[in-house]
Amino acid sequence: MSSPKKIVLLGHFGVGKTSLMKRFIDDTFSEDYKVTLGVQIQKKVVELKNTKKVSLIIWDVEGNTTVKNARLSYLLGSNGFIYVFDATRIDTFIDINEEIEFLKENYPKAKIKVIGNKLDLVSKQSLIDILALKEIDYDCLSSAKTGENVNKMFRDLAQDLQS
Amino acid sequence: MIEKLKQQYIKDKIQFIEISRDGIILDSDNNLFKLTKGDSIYDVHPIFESIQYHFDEKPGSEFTISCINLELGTISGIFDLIIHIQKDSIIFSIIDFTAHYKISNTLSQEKNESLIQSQILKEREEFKNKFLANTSHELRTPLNSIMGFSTILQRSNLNESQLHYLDIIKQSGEHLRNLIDDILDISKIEMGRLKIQYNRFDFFKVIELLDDTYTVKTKTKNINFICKIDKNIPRFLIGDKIRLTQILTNLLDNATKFTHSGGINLNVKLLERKSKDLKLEFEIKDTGIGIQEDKIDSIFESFIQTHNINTYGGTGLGLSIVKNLVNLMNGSINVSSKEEEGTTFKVILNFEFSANQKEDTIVELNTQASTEGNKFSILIADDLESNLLLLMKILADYGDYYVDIVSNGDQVIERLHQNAYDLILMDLKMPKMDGYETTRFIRQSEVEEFKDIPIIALTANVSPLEKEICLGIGMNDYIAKPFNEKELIKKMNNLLNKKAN
Repeated sequence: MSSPKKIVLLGHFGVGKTSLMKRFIDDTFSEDYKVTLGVQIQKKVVELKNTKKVSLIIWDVEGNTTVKNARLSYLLGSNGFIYVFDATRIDTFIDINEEIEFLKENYPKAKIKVIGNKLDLVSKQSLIDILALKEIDYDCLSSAKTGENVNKMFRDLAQDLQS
Repeated sequence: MIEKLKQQYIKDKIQFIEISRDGIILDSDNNLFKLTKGDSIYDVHPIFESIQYHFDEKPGSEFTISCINLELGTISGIFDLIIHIQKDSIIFSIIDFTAHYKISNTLSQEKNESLIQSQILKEREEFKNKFLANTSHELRTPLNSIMGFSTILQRSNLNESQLHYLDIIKQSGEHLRNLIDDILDISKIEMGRLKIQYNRFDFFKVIELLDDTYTVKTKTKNINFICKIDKNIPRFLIGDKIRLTQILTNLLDNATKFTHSGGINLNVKLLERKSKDLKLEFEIKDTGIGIQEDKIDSIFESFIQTHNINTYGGTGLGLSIVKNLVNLMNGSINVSSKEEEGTTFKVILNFEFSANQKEDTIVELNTQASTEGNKFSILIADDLESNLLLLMKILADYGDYYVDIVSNGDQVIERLHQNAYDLILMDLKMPKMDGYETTRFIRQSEVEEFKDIPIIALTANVSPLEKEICLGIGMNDYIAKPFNEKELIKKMNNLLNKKAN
């Protein structure tokens, strides 16, 4: 197995970063919103298509309205970022392109995925239309509640980190 | 003693661990949790694996990672971790700040929850207002056909009762248009998109027009209408004529609706004049059915109707719009009422005195196309057949025009290359190339003749912004649906005559 990969979950507060991690690690979900203070860290080994295994160490960090406000010590040494937005709250994705640009500039080696969460609460087509209208680039739409696309998103990133 | 206190307070709060560069535990004071020498630190918690990138930093360096939620052996809490890079080893200080961080945890929880809630509410409100604006647009389009064809029908050979029925259709259409306008206004107010315009206007003319209108309206109900205006008020003021008219019309309409005997008074007084600033009071007093005392506080709320909706109709938006407009104009409104005796509204509004008190020279728009025997060629672009038919019929009745019709922007461009047109009537919302894109294309075209063709926008979007956009992209004028036939012809002829000259 290759060396472990540090993945940081980023995004505004209340977008579902902790729920995504819990769904991925324990396959559980809770409707209650509990604020994340600081960071919580969990690990999961993922088997890739070529039967290679990769160990993901996920840093679920407290929500921030901009990545610039996130604690630098959480971001340093990251191999990948998952930027999560809430599909029901436009404020959480309206500036996403700038946020991603900032990450690319400051962490050029890290792989980045952009995920729209809470898909279970909106009409998928209207969300796609809004994102197209606002010219928001994203990788996939997910629901921590139903589990839709959650494993896929982490696996896709793990695959990217191996290639 | 100091050493004893240190031991008492620090012992349970901090643990020092020393590891080799490959993660083997060399030493630990086990103050917080138990570690065994020789074990791998990477089996204790995944954080240690993910901070290995620090281990290659130069000896003497220190790095702090604050506020980490950790489960370590039998304990869990929120810790700060300091990494001290040594020559041959790494030392970790793990400091327990659980109690300290828990306080801010509660505060963050409350702050975040309320912010998330307000964002969700804001979005729902925006969705509602967009929906209302869109619905209003969709309602205006068929209403345009109803009103337009009613006017055309009126000119045909109809008997008296048919004309009477047609009159009812037109009045109902007008009523429907007013209701749509109300709904659109309230959504604009709620979105903060309604702006007050400050322009010079003939104040006396506004009041005289209201006097004429309500003298006629009240006569049909056999009640009196008396209008008095303070002669100390200057004729020309600076303010928003349209919104002033809207406020007074709403209040006078209500007074007319709820008064069955006696009458209505409109008194306009100059309350104060300081330099250029004027404070005017508008009193609308009726001898109508009045408002119940317990309902008087809620009359300015949206969708609230204090009287039987089946008897009096309406949306319940009129007074809410009035109140909002008065607020936007930095004014005030008060109401007093007694059941079965009547209601009095007092509105106080601020205006500015216009230095120019001279009468305007009235420029009448031309209703005649100066054709000298020649007809003008008009191209109409609209994707709705009923709109095309209506416009064709109107223009055919006037007899001064040749008309071509198309249903999208692509066809407009195609026709322009085949024929010469004197004017284009352009719908904005069309499939393929819409009205905006088509106009931009025409104005930026390399064909010189295209650039000068007058274009009039026809749209059910009635915002001032829409008008600004239309003129900004090179259209010459703008007509809102449902449109008035005479206004359309006047605007067309004005542009046609200008071009011909």
